[in-house]
Amino acid sequence: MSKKNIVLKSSNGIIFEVEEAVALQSETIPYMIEDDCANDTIPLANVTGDILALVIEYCKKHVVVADGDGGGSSSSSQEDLKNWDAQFMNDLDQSKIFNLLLAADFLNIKTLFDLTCQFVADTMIKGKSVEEVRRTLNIEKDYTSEEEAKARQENEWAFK
Amino acid sequence: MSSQRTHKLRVLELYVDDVSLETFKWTGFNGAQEARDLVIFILKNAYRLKTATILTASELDILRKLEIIKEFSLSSRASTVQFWDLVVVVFEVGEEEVVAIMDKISGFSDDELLVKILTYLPTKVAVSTSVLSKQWKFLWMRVPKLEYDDRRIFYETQSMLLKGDTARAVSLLSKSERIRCFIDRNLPFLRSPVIESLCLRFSTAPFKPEDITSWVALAVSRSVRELSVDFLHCISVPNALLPSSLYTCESLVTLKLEGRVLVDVPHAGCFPSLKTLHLRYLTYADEESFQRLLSSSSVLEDLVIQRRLYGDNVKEVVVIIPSLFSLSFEVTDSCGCVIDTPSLKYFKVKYYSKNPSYLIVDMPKLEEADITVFGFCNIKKILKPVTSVKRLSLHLLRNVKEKKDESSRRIEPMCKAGNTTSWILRGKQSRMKK
Repeated sequence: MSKKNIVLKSSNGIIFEVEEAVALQSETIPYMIEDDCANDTIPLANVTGDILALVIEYCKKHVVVADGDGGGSSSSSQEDLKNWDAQFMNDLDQSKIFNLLLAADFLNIKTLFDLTCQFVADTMIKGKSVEEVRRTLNIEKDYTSEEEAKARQENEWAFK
Repeated sequence: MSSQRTHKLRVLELYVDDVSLETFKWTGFNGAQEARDLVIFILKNAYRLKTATILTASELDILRKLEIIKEFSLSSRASTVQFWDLVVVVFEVGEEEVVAIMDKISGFSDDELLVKILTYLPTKVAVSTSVLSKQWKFLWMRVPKLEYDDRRIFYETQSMLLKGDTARAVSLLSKSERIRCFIDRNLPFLRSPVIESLCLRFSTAPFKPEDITSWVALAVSRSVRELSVDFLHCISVPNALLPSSLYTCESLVTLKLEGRVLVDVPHAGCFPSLKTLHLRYLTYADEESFQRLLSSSSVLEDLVIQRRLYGDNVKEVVVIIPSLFSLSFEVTDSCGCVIDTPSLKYFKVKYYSKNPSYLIVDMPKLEEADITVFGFCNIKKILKPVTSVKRLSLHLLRNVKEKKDESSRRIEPMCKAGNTTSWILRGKQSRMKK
């Protein structure tokens, strides 16, 4: 039972060789294989090497657990995985998080996309003041004070 | 020269201020400072910009070109904002040669991803992002999952009333009224073509039955997939009548109803996609309405029935659903029942009855059963349909006449006949695990 490997190439030319099961957590990659996007190597034009490395680290972790459990739901391993996910996200800086989110979207890895979106929502928007969110997400305030007051008044119930 | 530049910027401002510019192309770009200022202005201010193409007229020195690219990339929103807008600047010489595609950082090509992120927030927080900037003002209206809830206001109002602080309670209720007005004003104008999920949970007086009716009708017209209505009032209000369009909603996958809701299913009622149906403390127009609802989907997998103690107009519960995996319901004295669900894997049942009349057909695929018994205790009859279960949890709560060890002796051989791997028996603090 030899395992098939897939070769992925990042936008800046870094090559990663991974087991098929790891790569196939992406729903985009199978199409690229079918389309014969490349003979041996699948080029990922939108993902840089450092981000692709993170994606692969995530996929490797998640494929092991899916295998090892024989499809059953062991609550302890689910718990471990959740902790691992939390740690994984906590170790990343903001720019990596955004790029990882984009990569998960492009590669169509549902669980990673959920994880990154939820992380951005929870840590950068929820429970933050308007000013904090603007600063974190680098949003330029283009409202005049009157316009902002009006927007606030229209949706008043959401602020208390 | 500089006043002329300012003038041009002003003119341009008129165009980009409306943030609608998506594509921008400049042919004959000569690299002069004035031209570069204009490009930078556009890159900075056009929020929706996706593609900026700049074609040089005459040959520019390659180093000079790279320098300009760098300057643009630093000044574009793509790099200053880091990720909102994909700004691809294609630099070409003459007709063919593509020199550079700039901007590796960006990629949130339009508002799509922002809307997706908003989907992961509670609706209230998503709405509050409308004050961030003009770009964000209406983004939340494209979020396809919405959840409105006055539960906290309800509990706060109750506690104020208990303390005798009527004034504070009234002011809390005006907050409810503001939520109601907000939903009424915005729900018809949501910009998401399909509503993935709408959850309405209301308990305070400002929310009227007719609000529920019209909001559910709106959700149905937007092909809602998951609908949850929880209309529990402690004061007496008329039941909310669900619109008849609901009962032929083809998109509906999950329907959860609770409280003061009147279910009146027409003859043509049919949910081709419905997989999850939870019915809690509802009132049915008549017995037929209830039965039609139970048989309205041929793909139903998950059914929960909890009934009001009296007055829901149902005399018999007949659940004959071959596709069902999970069932939770109650057996009472006031009502007979027939359960025939051959595919069932999970079964949760409470027997509230002393002398029940019911028929439960064997469940050969059962994996987990959770049985609670109040009063009535014919263990043999209760366990007969679930003998092939793998995990059994049995709660005997009152009037258990038999001694503990006697009942265990009775249960054990029955479960061994199947492939039960574990069972838990609770009754007078007894807990056994095999």
